[in-house]
Amino acid sequence: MANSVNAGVRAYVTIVKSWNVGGVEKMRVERMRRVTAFLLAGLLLILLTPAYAQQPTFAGKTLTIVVGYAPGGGYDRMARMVAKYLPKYLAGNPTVIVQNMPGANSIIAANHVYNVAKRDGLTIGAFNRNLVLGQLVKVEGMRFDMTNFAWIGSTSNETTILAIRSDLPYRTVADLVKADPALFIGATGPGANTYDFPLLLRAFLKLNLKIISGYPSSSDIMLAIERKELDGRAGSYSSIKPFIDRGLVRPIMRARASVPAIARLPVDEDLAPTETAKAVMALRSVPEVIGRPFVAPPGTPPELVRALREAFERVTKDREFLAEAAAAGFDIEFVNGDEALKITLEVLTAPPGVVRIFQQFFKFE
Amino acid sequence: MLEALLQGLVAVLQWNALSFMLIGVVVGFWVGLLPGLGGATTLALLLPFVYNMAPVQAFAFLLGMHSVTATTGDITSILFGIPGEGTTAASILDGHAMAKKGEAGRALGASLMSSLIGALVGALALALAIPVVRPLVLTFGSPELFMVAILGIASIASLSGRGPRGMVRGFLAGCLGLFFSAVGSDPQAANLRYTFGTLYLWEGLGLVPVLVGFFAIPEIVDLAVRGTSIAGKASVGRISGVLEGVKDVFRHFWLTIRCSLVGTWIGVLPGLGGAVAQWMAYAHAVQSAKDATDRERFGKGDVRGVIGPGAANNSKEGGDLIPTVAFGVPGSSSMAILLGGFFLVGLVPGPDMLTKHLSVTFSMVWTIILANIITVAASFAFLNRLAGLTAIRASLLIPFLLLLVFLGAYTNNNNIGDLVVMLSFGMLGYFMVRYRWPRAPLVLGLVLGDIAERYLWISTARYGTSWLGRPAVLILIFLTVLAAASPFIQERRSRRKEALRAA
Amino acid sequence: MRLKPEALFSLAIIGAAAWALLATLDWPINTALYPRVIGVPLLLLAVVEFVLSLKGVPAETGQQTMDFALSVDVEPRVAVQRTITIFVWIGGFFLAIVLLGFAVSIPLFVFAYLKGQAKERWLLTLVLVGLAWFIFDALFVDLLHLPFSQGLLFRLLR
Repeated sequence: MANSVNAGVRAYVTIVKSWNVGGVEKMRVERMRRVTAFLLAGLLLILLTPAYAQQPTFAGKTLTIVVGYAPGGGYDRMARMVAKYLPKYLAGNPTVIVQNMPGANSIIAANHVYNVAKRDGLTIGAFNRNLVLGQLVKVEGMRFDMTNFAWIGSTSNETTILAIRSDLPYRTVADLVKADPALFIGATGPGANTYDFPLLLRAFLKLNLKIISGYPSSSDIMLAIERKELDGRAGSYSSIKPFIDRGLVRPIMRARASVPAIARLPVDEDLAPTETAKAVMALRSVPEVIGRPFVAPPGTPPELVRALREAFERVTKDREFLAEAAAAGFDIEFVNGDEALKITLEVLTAPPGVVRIFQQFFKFE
Repeated sequence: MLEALLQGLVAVLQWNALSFMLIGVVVGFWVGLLPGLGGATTLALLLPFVYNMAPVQAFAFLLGMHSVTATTGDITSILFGIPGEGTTAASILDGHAMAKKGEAGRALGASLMSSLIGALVGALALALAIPVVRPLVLTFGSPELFMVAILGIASIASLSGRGPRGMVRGFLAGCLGLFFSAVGSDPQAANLRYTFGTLYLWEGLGLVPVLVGFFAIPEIVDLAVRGTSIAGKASVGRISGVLEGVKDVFRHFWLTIRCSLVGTWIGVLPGLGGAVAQWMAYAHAVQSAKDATDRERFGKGDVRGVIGPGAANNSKEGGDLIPTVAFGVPGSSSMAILLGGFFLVGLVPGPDMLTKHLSVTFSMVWTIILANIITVAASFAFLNRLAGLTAIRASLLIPFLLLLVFLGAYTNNNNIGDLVVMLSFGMLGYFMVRYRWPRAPLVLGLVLGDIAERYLWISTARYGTSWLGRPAVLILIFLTVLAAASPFIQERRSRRKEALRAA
Repeated sequence: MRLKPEALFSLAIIGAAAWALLATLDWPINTALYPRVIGVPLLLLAVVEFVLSLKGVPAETGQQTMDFALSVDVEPRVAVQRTITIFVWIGGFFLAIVLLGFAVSIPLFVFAYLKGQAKERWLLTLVLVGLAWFIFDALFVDLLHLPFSQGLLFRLLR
């Protein structure tokens, strides 16, 4: 910006100097030159000083949050809620809109934000938290590197629990290991925590579970539990909570990411029999800490990223936002961009032996 | 319970709830009309606004919007052959055919009236089912849902043409549809099938671009060939046409009721999706034809082909709400979004809604009823002008139809791939029409294939083979056989009639 | 002669079904079962249809399908010409969208069709172009904020 001011000044001076006239005209021109010089100096003063202390302003601009899912899903609802409260924490009070780019579990949206979107701080991406796992197992079609995004942060974590029907006599993990007959656990399909979490529990902790996969949505799984077709399910605490409160199911154990209500439940990683098992479970669980990630395109100017991070953090502390989020079933916990990047790197630098075993279980879908 | 019923009505008639319902109705009117603006998506967009509202207001707004999309979606289907919503494509077959005969007014009248009755039946079902809803929904497990999908697939037989060649083509189209539903990642192991290396096809073929291309493109091509207006040489019927349509609904009153019940029932069954109800109702209307000659009139402008889907896609709304309200399990993707609304206003769907908050549940019933009455009444006022659109010459209309088609397909995923799918199915649809292959079975196969595959696997994984012996399954097998046999029964009846006439 | 394109169509379906079935050979059973169960009857039926269409089983009125029939009251030569024309216009619109993006190609297409194909009056054309632009802009851009790509050409030039 300083450069363009410089160039402008030089051009202006050249133009002024080129007024080569004589006589009375010369006097007038001289006066004009002096006035111009003063004005210019004053202008420079005004412009340059704030250039150093200037906060990037979004005034008059429109910020777009690109969501990798169709309207109505969890990521979309979180993005829309953030979009509602973000403007008042960004200098210049810009308009914030949400655009949906569903497809391939948000790979399409991530490709777009990474490669096509402009790096002017006016585009934010909201994607699937498991993209980093997809990158780890080298899913085809990903044209981005999660570590190169300008990370803003995550507004909430995803808590995964295993819940069993209340009228069954099982209450602890040990009960589930000894369960006979095998418990039918419903799942939507590989790649979702409904499937992956019990899969690892069965493989490493030897819980006697049979996973029935293919239900169209997690609500259908819930209905099947009511019908006694299924004995339990895994899934996010926030979506199972109403059914726990109603007494339909009982939570037995949880994964790493937690909220106060379920903090006392046994954690899968703690019960892992070997270091490798623990590492594999950790790989699955770690992205859940950055449950609702928001990123900016790589190469976005650092001062803009900083402004966005601050704004996001202040949104997550806004009282009205918290109330609305609670009503919508979100547990808000801000994870800052640096932390999120660190976690992403942690996943991507997992030892190859662990990754190999992980790949046997995990399928990005 | 009567008290809650009246309380619900009073709550809805309060000025603030009523005004939100009216806003919702206006929004829903246009959402249904325009292809590409889906009811589900609009619900998602409106949801954040509901946060600070009282429950009755919130549902007046949301349901006021959503329950009328099926009513007005039929309008675009009938007038232009472009499905206004994913749930209104079945109305194109006979509705648009009627428009081409100059009977657009009659078709619109029949569609609106049947929509109203469907909505009433659905709302009534919601109100009445409340005591029995829990055992009702709990009876239908995964094996039963699989059989329902098979029942739907067997209905393909009725939608096929007449004679052995017709049957071959019908089932061919059906198999194609079933096959197309396999595109994407498979539900059990998440392996990608037939995606040609693209990311776009990961989640399978989107229903909206397929329907829009499959039905609209052949109609537009034919319109360009004809070169006249949609109504062609026939003069567009005026108000008498509309009243005629309304009378038709009452002439076929029991058909209307039966198709409404079909729609409600499909809505009650969770996991079947929104597009199924209209096609099952259409198949049922066809099956109710007296004999094969009578059956032939379908697809060429028989008003029964408009009444059936028109009633079903509205009654589905009430049916969808039943598992949503009673169990917190959405009956369709729109209901999944509506569930979010429950939580935003502080309600928890489940037994509470049938006891403590019964009046809120009944206010939903009244919202559906009132919103549809208002919409139908308002539409009747415009119907003549709407029907008049079919008199505009093709050359003016075609660019706008194509505009709607392209935009309508694109908004599915906001991806150019939507346009490719739309055009591909447009070509396929054109050739199928040209070579006299029926299109309805393909759509039926497409919407039912995914459900059939999922529930077959779940049933087998959970029950082994013992699920075949469950009582509800046996009843459904019987119904399936009936559905598959119906064209043959109709054929026999018409042969007997001809023999009698010859004698 | 009239049967040949019909037979070609069913032949194409046979080819597609066969290819699809072959593709399932590499897949594990839970992925492959459903496509195979559907694909085999599909192939068989397509073969039956192909044979029947070759044998020249005519489509009598008794075998009409419950679907609309393409209009027959236009002279066949004119019909073919108009069909090809409309397909070209549709394809052109698609290409324009890919290359130039929605924002440019919508008014361009409406204008080109109304003026070039339909040869309507200037005033009417411009009014309708304005209407088309308004529908697109007000509804889909301003209200719904849908993402519309700029078009290949513009992106390459950037």
